[in-house]
Amino acid sequence: MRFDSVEFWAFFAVVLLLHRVLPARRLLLVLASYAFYASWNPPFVLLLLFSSMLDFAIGHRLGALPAMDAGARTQRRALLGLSLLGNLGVLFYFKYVGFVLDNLVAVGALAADSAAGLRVETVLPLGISFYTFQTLSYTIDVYRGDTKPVRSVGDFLLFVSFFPQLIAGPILRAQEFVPQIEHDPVPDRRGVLEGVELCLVGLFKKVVIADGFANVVDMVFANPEHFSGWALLVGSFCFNCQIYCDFSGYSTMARGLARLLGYEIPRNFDFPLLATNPLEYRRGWHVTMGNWFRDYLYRPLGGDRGGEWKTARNSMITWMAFGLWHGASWTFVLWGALNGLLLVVYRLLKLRGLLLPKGRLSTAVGLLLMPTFLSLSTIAFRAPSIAAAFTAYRRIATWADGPLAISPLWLLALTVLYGIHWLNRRYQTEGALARVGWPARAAFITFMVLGLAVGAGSGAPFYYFQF
Amino acid sequence: MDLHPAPRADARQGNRALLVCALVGLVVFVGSDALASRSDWLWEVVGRGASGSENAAVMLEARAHSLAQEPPLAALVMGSSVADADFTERALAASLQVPPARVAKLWMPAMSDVELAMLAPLVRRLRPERVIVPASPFVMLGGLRWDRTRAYAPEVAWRLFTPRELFTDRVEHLSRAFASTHVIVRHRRELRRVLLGDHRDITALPPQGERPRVGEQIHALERARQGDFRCDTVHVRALEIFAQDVRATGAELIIASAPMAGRSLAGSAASSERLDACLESLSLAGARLRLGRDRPAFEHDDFRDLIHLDRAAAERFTRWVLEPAPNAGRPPHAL
Repeated sequence: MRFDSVEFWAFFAVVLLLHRVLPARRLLLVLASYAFYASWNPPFVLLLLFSSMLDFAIGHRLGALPAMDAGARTQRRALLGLSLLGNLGVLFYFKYVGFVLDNLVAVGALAADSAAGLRVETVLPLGISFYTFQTLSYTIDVYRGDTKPVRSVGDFLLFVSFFPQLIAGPILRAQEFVPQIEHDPVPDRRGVLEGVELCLVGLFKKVVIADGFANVVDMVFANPEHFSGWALLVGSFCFNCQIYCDFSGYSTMARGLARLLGYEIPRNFDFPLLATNPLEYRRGWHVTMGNWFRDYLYRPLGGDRGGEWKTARNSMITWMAFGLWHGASWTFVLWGALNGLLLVVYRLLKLRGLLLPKGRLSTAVGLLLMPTFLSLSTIAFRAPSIAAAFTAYRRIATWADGPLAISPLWLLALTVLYGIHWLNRRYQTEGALARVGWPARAAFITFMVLGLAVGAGSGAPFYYFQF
Repeated sequence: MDLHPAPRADARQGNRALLVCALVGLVVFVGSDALASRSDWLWEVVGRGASGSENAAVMLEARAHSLAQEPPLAALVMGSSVADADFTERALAASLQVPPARVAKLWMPAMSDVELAMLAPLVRRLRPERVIVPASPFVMLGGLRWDRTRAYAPEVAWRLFTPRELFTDRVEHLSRAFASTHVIVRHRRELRRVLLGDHRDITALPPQGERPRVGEQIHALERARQGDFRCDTVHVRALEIFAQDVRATGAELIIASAPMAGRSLAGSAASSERLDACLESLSLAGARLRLGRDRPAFEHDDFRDLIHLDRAAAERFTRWVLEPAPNAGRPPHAL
């Protein structure tokens, strides 16, 4: 059940109705979440249950052990190791085994025949990268004493499986979400209006804008050798916008659905298309996952506490791991490395005072350079192979000619999108539906309904579902 | 973040706001459909945006819209390219002694009987005096392929498919049912193509599944074996439902066994007899059957290819179909 399908909205309407009528709202949401997950592939529900129960039990046990006791400390470490092993082991098995075997064969460490014998063809369970990291963060937080163990197994199951964000985030932290579950909320008027607004805006971003851009992006990246360097550059901008609207559209809908159920989940995007430097981008793109890597990888590695070289190393490791999190392919590692490198260079320039002083000029230069860099880096993200990515880079760098061109109207579409993005940030339009009167609300709903009716595109799957 | 649950009064206000939003959305959705489907401009734009066989359903619907503005038809021929090739408007008009404007053909390349049944609501709108459908052994061939099904009507689907089939293909049914409720949703590709330019440049034309081709039916017939022709296919069920729906409009339905060239199994006497037997066994709500065994002979030279008659043969076939029934005066089949 995809968020852009009629099936999902029929399902959600029933859940919403029952949520308002039945007293056992939390139980309803657990059942609805598991039914939602089962609609993709029923056996994988067991995997979700396993991951949840493992971390619930470990969290419970960790809470019972005194943190300061030396004997208990060993036990606590063992429990944390068990959680890491169990969760990352499952993730590794489903997502990375084939990749590792292929690379072992490529470097000659394994004969091709033996690798084929070891390989088990599996379907990647949907959302596994998201919920695995979510449950892991809970165990680590309990281990660190940052959060208390959840007492109710039902509440914990809901924390891990809450269907608006189960498949592609935003990644929740137990300390933010479990207290909300315990309060068993029902939204007020403001919450409902915010929820309606977020759902419509998210759906519009996905099915009108992202799917619209997918049309040209698919065409360009299917045959990069036939397009000119200019067309590939525009295509990479289009892909940058496509992936942003696709993923942020999903996240926005997730927040809207949660609001309609009375819950508040964090923003996953903070205007990343308008980032003027790599730090702003890092803070604006896939925020909850970026924070996860910051809190559970970058900082444990030492963060920025060990001097320039160590900070650079930690940034590179974190970004490359972030890239690899997306998928078992070197193209994702390359994308992570490019972003990490940009961040390292930016920090070095900043430390040496070689950046333009803050002001309009630096903002203008940043607004020109960052989107260009981000769009170019997404070529690595989108290309089917490293070789294909380099073909595209070479054609852009040499400003190659090609028999196929892209309509200039796509440039207009990009300009309009960036303009709207800027206006949204400038006037902080989110939540406006709750602040205006009914005539303006009706106008907004009319625009959205007609826009969706005319503009809905190809029905391409959500890009981040593959991760 | 306020972690306290909303007081009951606040929750009631929230529910009221949700209800109003849903109502506004519903009014916009229903109202825009009502306005758009009556708009000649929309149909003109949709017609311009549609081209080629891949948009045959759109063109068919646009043609039906323009026919609906005219006086009721004396005869409406519906079906695949066989319906187009095997019937001529001139012979139809002459046989019925009406002006040519009072006869029409609504056809799509490789139209299946499931698609035919899904188009039954159009018959309700057009209110013709009679509907003529050529029957061929295709009705007894194979199952349903959603990527080849270009028409959908929820009220027909509800009767045509079993609950199990509806549940198994629920994604397909729900999305098609939704699209069928709103004319703009259904024709947004054509609208965008006209309003925004060529689809390769600007519109969000979805990746098209493989579309039915005219030659495809011929290949299917050439490959078919005797055991492939069955009288329990979804298309046979669809033909029964179509007959019921046409009957409900008060129109006469004529189902005529279309000739096939004898070079294939489908064109053999055995297949023709099997089709006759199948049609006679169905509950066709009083439809008049023109069976293969009563049909004049058609030679190889009468065909353009394996399944389509040439023009002269089509005139003869059309006249035969509209001749008074040989069993006139007897009770209709399977009432």
